[in-house]
Amino acid sequence: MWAVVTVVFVLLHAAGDPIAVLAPETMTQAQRAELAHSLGLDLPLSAQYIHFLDDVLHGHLGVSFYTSQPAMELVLQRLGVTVELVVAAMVVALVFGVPFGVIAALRPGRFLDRSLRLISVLGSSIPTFFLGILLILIFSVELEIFPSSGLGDWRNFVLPAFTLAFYRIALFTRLIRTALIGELSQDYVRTARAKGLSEIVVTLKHALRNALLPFVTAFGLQFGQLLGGAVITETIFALPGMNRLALDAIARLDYPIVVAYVIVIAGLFTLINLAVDIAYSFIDPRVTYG
Amino acid sequence: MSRIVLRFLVAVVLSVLVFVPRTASSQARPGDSASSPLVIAYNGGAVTLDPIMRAENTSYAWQRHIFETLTIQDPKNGTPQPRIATSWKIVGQNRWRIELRHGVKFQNGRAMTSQDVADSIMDAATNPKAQIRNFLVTVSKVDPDGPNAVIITTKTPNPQIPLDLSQIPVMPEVEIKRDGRGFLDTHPIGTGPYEFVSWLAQDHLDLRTWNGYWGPKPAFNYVKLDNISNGATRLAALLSGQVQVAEKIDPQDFDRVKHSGTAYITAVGGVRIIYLAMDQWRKTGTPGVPGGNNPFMDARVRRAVYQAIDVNALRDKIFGGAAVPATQWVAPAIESFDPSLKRLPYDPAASKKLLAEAGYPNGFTVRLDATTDRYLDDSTVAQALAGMLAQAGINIQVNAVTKTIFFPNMDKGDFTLYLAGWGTTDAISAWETVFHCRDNAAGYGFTNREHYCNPSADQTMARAASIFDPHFRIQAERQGYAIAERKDFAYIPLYWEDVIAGVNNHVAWESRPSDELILAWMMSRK
Repeated sequence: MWAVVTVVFVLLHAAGDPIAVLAPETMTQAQRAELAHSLGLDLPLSAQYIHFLDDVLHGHLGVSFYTSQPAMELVLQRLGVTVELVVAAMVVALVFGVPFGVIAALRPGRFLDRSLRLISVLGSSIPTFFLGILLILIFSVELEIFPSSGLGDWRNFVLPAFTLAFYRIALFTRLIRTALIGELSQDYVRTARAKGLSEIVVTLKHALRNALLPFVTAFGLQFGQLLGGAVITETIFALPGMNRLALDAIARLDYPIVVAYVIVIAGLFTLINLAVDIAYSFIDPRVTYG
Repeated sequence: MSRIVLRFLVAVVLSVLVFVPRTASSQARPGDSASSPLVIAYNGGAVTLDPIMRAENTSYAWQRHIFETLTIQDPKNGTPQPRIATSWKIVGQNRWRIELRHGVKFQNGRAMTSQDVADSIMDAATNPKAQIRNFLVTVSKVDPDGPNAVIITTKTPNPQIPLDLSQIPVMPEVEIKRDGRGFLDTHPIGTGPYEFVSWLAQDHLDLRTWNGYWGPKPAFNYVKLDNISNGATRLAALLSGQVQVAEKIDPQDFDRVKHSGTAYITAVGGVRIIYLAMDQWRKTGTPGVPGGNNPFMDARVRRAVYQAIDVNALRDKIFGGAAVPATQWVAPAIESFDPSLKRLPYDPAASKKLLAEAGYPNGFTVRLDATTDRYLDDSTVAQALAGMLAQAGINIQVNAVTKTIFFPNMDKGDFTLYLAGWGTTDAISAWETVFHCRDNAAGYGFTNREHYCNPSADQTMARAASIFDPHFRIQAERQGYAIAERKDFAYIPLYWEDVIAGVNNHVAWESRPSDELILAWMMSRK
């Protein structure tokens, strides 16, 4: 955590002088100096760093340079939207990606497999901003089914969730397909079939369970990546997520918000890794904690 | 072998796909209820609702639904009009008496007093974090004069006070003293036509009309101010009827809006001038000029650059007509604008001749610094300028960077030639900050990074600043500017940015060139 916070501090100070961005063009030098002093930005860098570490250690992440609201509060206010968006996207990716992968694995080389392969090539090659705007044009401007932007009810999440999910659907389809084809040729599958188990049970209960292990790792990684990587989607769909807040804060060199954001993201990553490890133990009984 | 599994899975996927919800189709008229407000989409969102803490147009626009300024600029000519202040007059040496409106209340029900107004002005003038202090540099004190007037005392004669007050909001100073400023960001109370409902900083602000307002009730009872910073999304939201007003529509999309049948475009020349600034004080060793000598020391070179630029082409090719070629610094929406001043013709041959006279028959090489994200299509304009100046023999290397890098470098004096913009509120304050000889002690010319200096023009403008008769003041201002514009070529005017919005056909709104604000309470139904 110390390393993360220090890197952020150094990078932000290398990025430029916040006063130059904060102060309007019309402010005099004397007024600028006064402003810098009121924010503690007139101190030498080393002193600023010590103050900064001291504040972080005591849980004071400071107040945004632009408002009187605490930086952590601003970030946490927007955490919910980002989490909802990412969960929605991961659920969509799961609901489509896993069945697609299974379908493709059951009939490799056939029509369904080939059309799903087309989808996964598209999914991994279409840039997010393009897909997002395409979906807006089709579903909100032409068909008027879903709203194009902002918060409202669950409908507002449909387009952004699909935008984010598209690449993950492609990824999961390919992962599951490869793993499942490997498993289906294993001996234990033949044994299960020989026992007279139905094809559904053989595929979904025995083979798929083993095929899920690499998938769970990828799922966790993608989940974490999306929490910090949904910034383009949040911007296109004008969702008040924390990534967009952080992007705006970086552009304005509003350090306290950026630091709060990085701490939240780092914490979430740790939590997700923990969740992935726990999930392992459910899927693979050989993995135990004790 | 696995047909059953296959059928099962395909059925699951299809059932998810087929389930397509419909949005509730057109219910109430926008603005009639909290669930269907009038929505205005801005390119950005207010960072704070504390009305003195952020000098930036979106913040101003959002705040000024809740708070009222003492005066308000006329949308067409920029002159101050009554708002909380109803009239103003000079009462003795350096003293203005400002008459205040009767019956104004704050949204918590408390009547506004002259003490609130006096304290609001001093708050804006002295708070170190306040970003609008520059409008009040001449003010030394403000005193209540009975319940419905204040007396403003200035250090030097200042005829512009009524105009400066168009930037100063009236705040509930009693509550600020009692509770601190924090509530201005969580639940602000002002005297304006709309009251605060809820907001998320930089994202949206929900408002409803306030019954205790002194003035006419706005046409739209419920309003949502929204931040949609992606241009394509903003356009889509306008075309699909999700928002009723969307600012800053890309000129390339004008035709889509016009042919949509749901919305129209309002584009009016604004007060922000985009111009080229040139170093005029370092004879040698200016950054970005190989060879050492600063060619811009010679006014003939500056004029040569001027005449090598085809501004009409910029307007038509880059802005689709949505820009006004600038004849001078002061825009037509400001009263000191001089209609007799015309733009010098585009004439590359004349440029070459001027360059040869100045000792550059083969032109020269210079770096042009510009932003990528500050002004409308800024880096595209810089590239186009490079092409045009090449015709006259000036070899330009464009260096376009993001504004957080650009502005600190500009302040350090790292530029010789750069593309800049300035939103002018009045001729005199623009002169004192941009054109006046640099004088840090007196606070003059602090953004005059080119060190343009003409003491006799400064004298003319200083005289203008002390003339209280508008007619004679404007005459003096035009004289002062003419020296910088046509004798010294202190800068090169390019164009005034248009103030652009797309508006739903059921809403009547025209862009305000003077202050560029989009305000729901000035809109009506149609």
